[in-house]
Amino acid sequence: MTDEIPAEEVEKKEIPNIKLYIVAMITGIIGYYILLANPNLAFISIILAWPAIVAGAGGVEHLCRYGLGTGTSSIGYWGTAVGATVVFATIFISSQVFNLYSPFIVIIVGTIIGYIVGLCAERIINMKIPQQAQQSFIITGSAAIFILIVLEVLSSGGVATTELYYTFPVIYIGTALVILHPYNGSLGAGEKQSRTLLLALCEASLITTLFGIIGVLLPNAPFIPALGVLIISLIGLVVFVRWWWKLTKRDTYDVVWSGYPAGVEH
Amino acid sequence: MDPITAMIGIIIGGVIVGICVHFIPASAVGAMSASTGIATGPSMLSAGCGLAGLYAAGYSIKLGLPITVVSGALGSALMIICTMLLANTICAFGTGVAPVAGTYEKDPITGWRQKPFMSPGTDGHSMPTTTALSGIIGALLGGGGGSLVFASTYGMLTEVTTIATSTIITIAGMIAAGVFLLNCVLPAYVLVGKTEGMTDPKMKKLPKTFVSCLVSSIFIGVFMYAAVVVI
Repeated sequence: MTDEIPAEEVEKKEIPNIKLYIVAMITGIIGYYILLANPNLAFISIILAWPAIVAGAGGVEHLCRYGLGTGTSSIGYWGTAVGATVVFATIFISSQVFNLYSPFIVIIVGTIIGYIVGLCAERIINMKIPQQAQQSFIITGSAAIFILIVLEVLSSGGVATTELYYTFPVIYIGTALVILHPYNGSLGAGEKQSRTLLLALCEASLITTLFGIIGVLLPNAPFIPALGVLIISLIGLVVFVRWWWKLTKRDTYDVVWSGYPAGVEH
Repeated sequence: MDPITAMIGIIIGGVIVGICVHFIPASAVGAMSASTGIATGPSMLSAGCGLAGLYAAGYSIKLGLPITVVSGALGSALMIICTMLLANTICAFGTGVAPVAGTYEKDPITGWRQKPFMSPGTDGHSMPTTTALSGIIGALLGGGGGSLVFASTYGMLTEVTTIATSTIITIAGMIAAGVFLLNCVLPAYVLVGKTEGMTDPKMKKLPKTFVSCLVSSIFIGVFMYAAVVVI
């Protein structure tokens, strides 16, 4: 029957979200500079952007486990709202073109605003959620760096085309959904960080597939980088879904004795 | 619009958006007719009516700030009125429960008794007159606040940059939606997923919402000003 794992042991096994966030920021910055150096290497940058979604989904998972008083969807939309607003405003810093400092600006400002809002919830509203300010800035910073890379891929150096502005709502809502949904889709008995974060990877590759299609079809958007993003995202999607499916089967068996029997080929 | 004025407009708009959430009756358990309010979370309902207001404001952005704000407020109120009307119709004729509120004995406007019509074990169902009026006030505030952010961002961008008008409307709309979502989730923390509007005892916690939204709006407003004007 089910093996009960002590709560402390589960906590120990989980990767702290702050570590995921640091990794996501480093890979995000590297990905952005690769893109600046050569837009045709967008397929590498987009792989390096996926950890941001994983970190953001980790933040949502942490906050929503404590019964937030608002829905999982609200916190996802909120985090992406901060990230997206910061990135959209950053466009105007240097005449509608992202520059060398853009990733640092979006990460720092996104992190500060996320931290301040989390701190307001912690100190003024007196929420009883541990590390709320920290987890809040993880969501906002992650959303900001992901949206920055996606916009840079689609614009290839300049975001001044009107057609690209029309994709902002898609980028915004798409990013919000992939950040909020992994936990929403995995919550319930036997929710585990590994499966939730892997679902986040599946959804990150799925949404970048969509952005790749948009890039291929969008007038004035760079065709080769967008095609690279589309192909690598599709490959990523297949790999991650297979991996996630394995974990789902493992956990289904773990939760109740209703899944596949252990030791039987399936 | 002068950029400093626009920045102040963004901050004021953000705070008004935060306040509006307290007035809009919403409750997740309303889906089972177990409490008064529209059957969804307060923040998502407010975001929905605010975005409807932004659409309305987008069409009148070139007619000046007052008309834009009024247009946004009316668009938002229209959306919430339709939602409440349909929710009441479904509760009355589908579920078979009368619109009653749990926080008052007699409706302050109509004077109708509430308690005898309340199903046992519930906190009320759908929206009686005063609760509906509270929802309309909230939507007017939310739509007006969101439109103020929208018009201020539009004014700031037209003053400082030379981008095409249609593009500015798009980006100002996205930023207004972002500020709206940012400010309407903080009150949801205060309301803990359920409110009956202006008659709810949680209205006493309005100062907490006010201060939180003021702080977060100041940061967003100052960053917008710094990004567009200073740097």
